[in-house]
Amino acid sequence: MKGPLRAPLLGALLLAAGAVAPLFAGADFDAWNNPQPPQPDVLVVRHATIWTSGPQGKLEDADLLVRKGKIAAVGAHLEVPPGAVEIDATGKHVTPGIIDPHSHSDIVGDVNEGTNTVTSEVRIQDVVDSESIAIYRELAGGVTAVNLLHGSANAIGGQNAVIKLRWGAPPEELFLQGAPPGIKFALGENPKQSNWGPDAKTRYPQTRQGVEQAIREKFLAALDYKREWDEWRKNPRADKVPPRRDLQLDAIVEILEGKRLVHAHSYRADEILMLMHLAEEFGFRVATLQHVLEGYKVADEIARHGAGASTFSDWWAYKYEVIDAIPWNGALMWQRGVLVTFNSDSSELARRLNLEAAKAVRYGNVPETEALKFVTINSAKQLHVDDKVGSLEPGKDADFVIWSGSPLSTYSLAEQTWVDGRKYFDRAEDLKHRDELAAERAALIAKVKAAEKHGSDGKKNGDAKAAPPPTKPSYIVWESNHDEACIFSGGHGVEEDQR
Amino acid sequence: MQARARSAWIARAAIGLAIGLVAASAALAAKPPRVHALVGARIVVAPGKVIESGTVVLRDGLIAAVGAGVQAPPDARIWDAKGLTIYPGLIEPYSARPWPAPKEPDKAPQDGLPNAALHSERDMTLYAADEGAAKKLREAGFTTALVAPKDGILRGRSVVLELGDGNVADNLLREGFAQHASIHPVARRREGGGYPESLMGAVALFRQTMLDAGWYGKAQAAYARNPAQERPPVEPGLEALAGVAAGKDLIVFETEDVLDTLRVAELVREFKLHAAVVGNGEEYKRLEDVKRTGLPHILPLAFPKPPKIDGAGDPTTDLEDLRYWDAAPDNPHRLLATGLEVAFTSYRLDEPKKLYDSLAKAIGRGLTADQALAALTTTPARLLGLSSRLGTIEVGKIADLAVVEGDLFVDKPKIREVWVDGNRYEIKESKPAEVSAAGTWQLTVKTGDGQEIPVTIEISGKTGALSGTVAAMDKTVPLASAEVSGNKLEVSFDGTAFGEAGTIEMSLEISGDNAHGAGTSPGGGFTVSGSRTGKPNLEVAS
Amino acid sequence: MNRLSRSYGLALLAAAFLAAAPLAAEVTALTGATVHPVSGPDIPNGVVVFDGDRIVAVGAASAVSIPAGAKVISIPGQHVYPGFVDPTSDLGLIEIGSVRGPNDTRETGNDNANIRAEVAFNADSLLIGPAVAGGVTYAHVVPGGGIFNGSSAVMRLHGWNWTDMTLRAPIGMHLTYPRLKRPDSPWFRQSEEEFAKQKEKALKSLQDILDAARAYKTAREAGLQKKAPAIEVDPRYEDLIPVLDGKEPLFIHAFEKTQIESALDWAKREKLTRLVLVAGPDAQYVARRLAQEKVPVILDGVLDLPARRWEPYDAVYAAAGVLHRAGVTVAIADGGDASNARNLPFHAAMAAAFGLPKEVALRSVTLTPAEILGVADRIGSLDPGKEASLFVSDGDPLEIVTHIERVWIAGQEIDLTKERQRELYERYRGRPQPAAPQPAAPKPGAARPR
Repeated sequence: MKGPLRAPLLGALLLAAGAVAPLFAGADFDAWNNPQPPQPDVLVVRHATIWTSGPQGKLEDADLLVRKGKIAAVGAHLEVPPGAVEIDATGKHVTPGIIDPHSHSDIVGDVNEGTNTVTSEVRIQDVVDSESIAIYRELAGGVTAVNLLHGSANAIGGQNAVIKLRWGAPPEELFLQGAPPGIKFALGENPKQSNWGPDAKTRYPQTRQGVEQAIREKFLAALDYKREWDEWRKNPRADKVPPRRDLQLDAIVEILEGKRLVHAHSYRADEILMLMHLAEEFGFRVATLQHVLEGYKVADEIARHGAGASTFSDWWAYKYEVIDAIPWNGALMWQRGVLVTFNSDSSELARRLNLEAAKAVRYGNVPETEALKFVTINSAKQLHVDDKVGSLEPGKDADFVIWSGSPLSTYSLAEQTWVDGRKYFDRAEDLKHRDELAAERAALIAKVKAAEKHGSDGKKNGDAKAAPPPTKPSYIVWESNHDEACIFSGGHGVEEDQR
Repeated sequence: MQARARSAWIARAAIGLAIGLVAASAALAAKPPRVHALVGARIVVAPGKVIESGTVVLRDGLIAAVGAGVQAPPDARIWDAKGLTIYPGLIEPYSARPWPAPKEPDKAPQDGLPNAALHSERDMTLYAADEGAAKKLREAGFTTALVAPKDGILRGRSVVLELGDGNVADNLLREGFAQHASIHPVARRREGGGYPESLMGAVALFRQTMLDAGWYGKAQAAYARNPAQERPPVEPGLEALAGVAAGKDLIVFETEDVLDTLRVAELVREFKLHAAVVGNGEEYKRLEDVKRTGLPHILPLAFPKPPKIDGAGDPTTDLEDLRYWDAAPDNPHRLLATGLEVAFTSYRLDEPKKLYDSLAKAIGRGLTADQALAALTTTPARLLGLSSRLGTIEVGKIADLAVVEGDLFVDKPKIREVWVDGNRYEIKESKPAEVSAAGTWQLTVKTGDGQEIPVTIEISGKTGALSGTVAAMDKTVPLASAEVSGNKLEVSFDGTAFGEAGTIEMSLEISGDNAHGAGTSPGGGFTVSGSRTGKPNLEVAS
Repeated sequence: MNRLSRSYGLALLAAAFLAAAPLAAEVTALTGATVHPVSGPDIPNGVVVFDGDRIVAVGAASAVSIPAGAKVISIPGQHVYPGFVDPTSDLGLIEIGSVRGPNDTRETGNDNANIRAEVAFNADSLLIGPAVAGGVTYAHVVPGGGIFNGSSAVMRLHGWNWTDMTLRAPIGMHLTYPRLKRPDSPWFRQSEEEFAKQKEKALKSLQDILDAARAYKTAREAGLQKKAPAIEVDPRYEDLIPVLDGKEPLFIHAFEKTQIESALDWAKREKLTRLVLVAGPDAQYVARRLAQEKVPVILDGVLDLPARRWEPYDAVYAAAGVLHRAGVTVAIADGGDASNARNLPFHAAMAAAFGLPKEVALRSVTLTPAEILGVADRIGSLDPGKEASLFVSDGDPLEIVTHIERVWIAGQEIDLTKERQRELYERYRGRPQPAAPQPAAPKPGAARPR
């Protein structure tokens, strides 16, 4: 059998071959064409500089021991049973897998349901794109988990999905099990449609004050809804019209009950304060402020409220509300006791989050191991999954990266990326696969030419064109930095700013 | 194939003149005998069950007898089918037609549900008949089709009908068969669309509507018990979904890619729906997951064209497109191998006839002809709940047949005729027009017994949209159809005015301004020849 | 007045201002650091001496004598580098991306050959400060819009206004070659037919403009030589004459492989041989030809995604290395985001991580751009006679964890503490901390009075 069947079949044969199966990494650009890599019973990575992002700190010449997908131990000269897979990582660095707290990389269709100001009924989990090449490219940058968020078009957006980058798995196998549900809020220019063009001037709200009221109104409606249902449950009757379930208000009730984490896209100090006050009025805590580029101005207030802050390292000047953004934002908030992370909000930047962490060293002298936490354990804490991921500590998932050098060095490459103790990225395999792809391309081109000659695919026979499937990824990955369609426009084409 | 009954056209015409006027209204009730015997054919009774040479007897629209030793009954019209293969008429499990646009857009009827993408209460019955679409399906060997409404996330209910001429009532097999859905946004905000404009919005709307449908019955029942409370809204759209929400009525989802199928399966699981999907050609990409959904599939076979090659070693040639082109024809046999119920559809092809090109490719990759036949007959019959009446050539079933010269599963099968409900529809092979037929033709019809009748035919219009009239015996009748195929002009018209109880057909070979050919009528065959004596002023040459 | 005399005039004007200004004709010597001239090997314990706006000496401590009265700055353990030269930038032409008012990056119309970038250069742009604080000292500011975009200028990122900040103008004429393939992107709204039509129109327009310019040149020269009646000056064609004469380089902006190949074919047909290609990573697929035809390349950004799903994940990162190994001269630019021109060295660093030798990477954002832009006599390396535009860092400036400590542009030290973003940082760092331990946020359910 040839073509698309080869890889899964080969993988299956290899798996069937027994315990010494190679740790096949799925390097194909078609997600479905990659089998799930095997999970060694015992794996040890030796002689590396290990950045645990945990209480053990940074260890030199240390080993990482993994059993069946979980970290068993971190330390020097660890003993392992025979038959363990050993990786010699002398001269290399090992870090926890990077967690991107703000991503839209793997979403089928629109990132925004931009028609209404409140769309809490829509769910990213319904449209997770397991086929997105961004998953593989981010693995190649050391990322192992991402928080997929709704866009920032609405004051109250949709529900999030936290996934692990298990390249090749179908959507339902990507979810990070046990991650508490979350939802996206957005404040400022985006939900008030400031940059949407001349036709976008009528949807309420058009001011920051209106954004507050739009949110507040929904909170009040949710309290009414909850009261209605509580009363009904006490006394349901067949001759009383029951209340109607409303998916939108269901989600808001969960927020007010503290069961759904609010991730609020925000920039200006005033709107940051507004939302925290509003949350306190209704008795919950904002889980994270996203972007929060003026967070440094109200760092103490954020620390007191207890919200996490997930920011850019140095992006600014793309909208008026980020005019006061400074690259010391992360460091300053961190200095004042805020739980800080760096995020990407971009499939391009997501591959370099290790280097984004380095910016906290450059701007603010955050110690290197603390800076790395901005993209590892801190992200896990903000998402309330720090019991499972984010640091190399016994009992946690074996999500880790082997780097060619310091993760904070611009010259380092990610060489291997492991999730759940399975190797999902291996640069050496990737390089080999390129030859296979070139050979495949040549073979297929020859086939096309042969078919055209024999007329079986000529125009006369009329091969009908299939309706192009929408998840067939774009010829051009249209997101680059934060200027969409920048690659071939030679300029700036910001269609709809989602930051 | 030629009928062997004889009568002279002119003799009939003479009698017809006399009784024609009297019988004019009675002519509407004239029904030719409906007993036919197709003799000496190879009969594919069902997938894997072949009679090398036999006879099929049709009586009043049903199969009366089929077998090797069957004798034609004495009242049967005999059709010589030697050298031909008879298959069960193919069943099209999915065709979709846009809901007719309102004549006054401002006064569009208010649909049942408040969202513009939801039309669950629409019923295709009144809009299902489309002679042009039926003809195209018949040309591909289909005799039955499901017709579903298009447009929207929840689209309304489909009908199943026979592909005969005439109105819906005569052809309807099942009304309100299934609810149809497509979980995709309808139009973007900037194109005038409303909520939802995103895929996740479409999912959310569907889920909310399913919840509402479940709630609706309870609410109405409670109100009926006790009207002394605020009246819940009456929503026909939700009423129409009651059976679906209860897991009883079938709901068919259109999918566009393999993740779509998995997404639909999730919704089916969540709401415990009785569902089927219209597939997408990508099932092979996640075959195990698709298998696990257990969903019956109506599978389009619209394979992609080969991608343009920029240059042999060009690193920017689209490898994705190459792969998909190469893999697509494997999809049908691989999906069947999972054990899921799979019917084929011509949906998404430019026209139904093109199905055979795809089938030939798929058969080249491992699909068997029997599997193909089952996917076009017995499986769709089962999906449409019509197994007792359609899908095989067995006594008691509806007389739906496809008659083919040679084998059906080649890339250009020669389908000669189909029988729908026991009525014969000859299929003319059409070629691109090589001549212009417009103008006035003075012709002479020569009947079998030597009579000569002058006939004038007027043709006008553009090729592909020709129309005209036929005049003879001081009567003028419009042509029912006029088509140019190659160098032949084929016309047909109702022969009642000329004393014939049915359609008269003529095929004229045109060279320059001369024409000669032949024709058939219920009363017998004839030859015809003549020339073009006038061209219309505004002739639009073909 | 034609362009050449215009630029001479400008230079005279600038010189007059510079001469008139009371420049501290101070001699400065940086000592004790590792000096990285880029034009030559690194100098441990090196010395750089500059007088006024010029470097006068670079060398080992033992080899350089420091003039008496010089201000000696001892920086042991540090590093001295030439300031970065951003080879393609919008700096000075834009402020906030979403605000149209201060955006002067794209003019309308197809023939903007007469547009000059430098006249709209906002010396006080908010975006310049952060770039300078990141060690960027010069930017090649390029106009956009249309097919012929106009002429560019190399701007010194410190001064009073564009007249004294223009290092040299015109650097070259810019041409944005029409796209040949419709991008298959959700943002791209034109249909295939619309795109095909527009492409034909654009290619025709390009040809028409050039043909008209040739005809204009012939008529103009004939008029000037009194062989024919003088014609009216049309700046849009007038400013193309130096390109037609081969006196001014033509910068072709082309990104997709067939677009690049077609542009090179077209330039050859039109006998335009002084070319620079401003391109994206697809240039690597045309590397051999670019090397053969000796066309230098400005790679507009390295920190970008591959255009095609099946391309290797590092297709963009590795492009500079592929070009370099094929023998192409490569400069690296910041990818079009003027607000983060300070990240220019990290584009070069990523190229180094994926195959470009480290020293070539450093050169690609310093001396190589200067060479390609024709200003290597003035800037791009630490050499006597060049402008004293340099910075002091505590390590390799291509590493993010390195700090840029001090920056000089043309001999003037930049007060980095006055940089606007830095000021905001210091101000809020100095915000008094809350006195007592803060009460925790109210528990859920406790509503605050409004």
